[in-house]
Amino acid sequence: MSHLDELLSVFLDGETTPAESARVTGHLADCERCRRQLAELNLARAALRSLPTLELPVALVVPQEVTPLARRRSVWVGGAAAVAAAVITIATIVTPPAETLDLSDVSRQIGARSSLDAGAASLKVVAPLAEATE
Amino acid sequence: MNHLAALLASFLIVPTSAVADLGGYLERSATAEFSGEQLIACDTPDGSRDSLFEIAQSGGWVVVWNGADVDERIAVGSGVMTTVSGDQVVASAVEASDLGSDSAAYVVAEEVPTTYLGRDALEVTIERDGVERINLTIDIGTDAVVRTEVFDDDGNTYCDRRLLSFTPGEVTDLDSVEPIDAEPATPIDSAPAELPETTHGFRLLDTYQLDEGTLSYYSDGFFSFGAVVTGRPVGFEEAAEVVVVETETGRYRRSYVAGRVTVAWASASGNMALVGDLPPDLVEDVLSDMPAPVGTGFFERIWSRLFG
Repeated sequence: MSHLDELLSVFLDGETTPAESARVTGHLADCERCRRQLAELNLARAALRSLPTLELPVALVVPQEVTPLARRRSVWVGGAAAVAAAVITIATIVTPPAETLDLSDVSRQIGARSSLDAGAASLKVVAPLAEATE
Repeated sequence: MNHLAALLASFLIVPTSAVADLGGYLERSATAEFSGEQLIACDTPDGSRDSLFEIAQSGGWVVVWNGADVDERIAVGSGVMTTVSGDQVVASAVEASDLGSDSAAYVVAEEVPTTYLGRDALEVTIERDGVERINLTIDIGTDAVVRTEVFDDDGNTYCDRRLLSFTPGEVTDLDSVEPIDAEPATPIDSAPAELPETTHGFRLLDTYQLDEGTLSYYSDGFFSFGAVVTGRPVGFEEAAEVVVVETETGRYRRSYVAGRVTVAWASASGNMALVGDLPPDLVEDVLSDMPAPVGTGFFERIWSRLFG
């Protein structure tokens, strides 16, 4: 039996074609070795994803080249832009940011509700903590 | 001789009238006790979405976790969903006023004996509006659904949820997943007027109050979704891959994970979201009955034009 090896990683990246996905899922049903390999790859990805994002030290950041604006713009256009920017800035300052509705809370509540549907729980539960595709 | 052939055929392919309905299969599968490894592979409009995890069902609870790391797990059952991530435990609980387990829209078209993971099983083909929608593979010894294939209306597989390993019997090491107490949300009497009572075979069953808005739960007896109407901006989960989709009715933000779709948009009624397990064509159908997206505001357009 030939094993999937590199195709498993592609599969976890969500970059397999439908035909390749079918081949992978069919093969996994019969191949303990590839199932283990897929599980290990999946765990490694989850561990990587959980690492914190670090800011680069300032000294390592390459400064971007600054291109001066063209100077032939009309005074009126410049004035209008300045007024618009001022309005937006003031509106941003005086308007407190609206609190966002967290869809993960909503998803959990829907999951709780769907568990009351007959026999649905094992057919509905998804594992957001272990998404294989980013 | 023809009669004999017909009789034999009737044993091999059981006609609809003689078999259980979808609701019966689902109710029996809920009592099955098993553990195993489950793979969900979905072919979505935004690409493949796959997920692999351990699963156990016992005592009315379903628990999933990622490999050996049981500090990250989800437990679902009896109207409660608990998410555990290290020391952080979050639970949501709901009560229902209308269980609405009516799966009359679904017709069992065929039952064929088969084997799955070396065990006797039954492959059940289920149609909705004359279209093959679901293929269940049921382990005969336990009644557990060991594989569920869901099809789009064009016959292509949308999601294939299958156990890669299967251990029948009581699961004894689930002590650590006992649900935590959570105050259940109770349904409110009225749903937002702009939401339909029924849409493409789905029925509005319960509506819950959110901090600022409502969550309305719809089901057609198998697929289900929640529709959110809120005054707040809608934020996708941190790791979500969000795609902006332009349709004839307007602009939506959409994110698929394996087994679930989330769509968000701004309507005249407020910000809206749909979260469910329905296949893409049904998502499109349902969205056509929801309040349509409206364009972004003047200042947002200006901002976008000025700053990208």
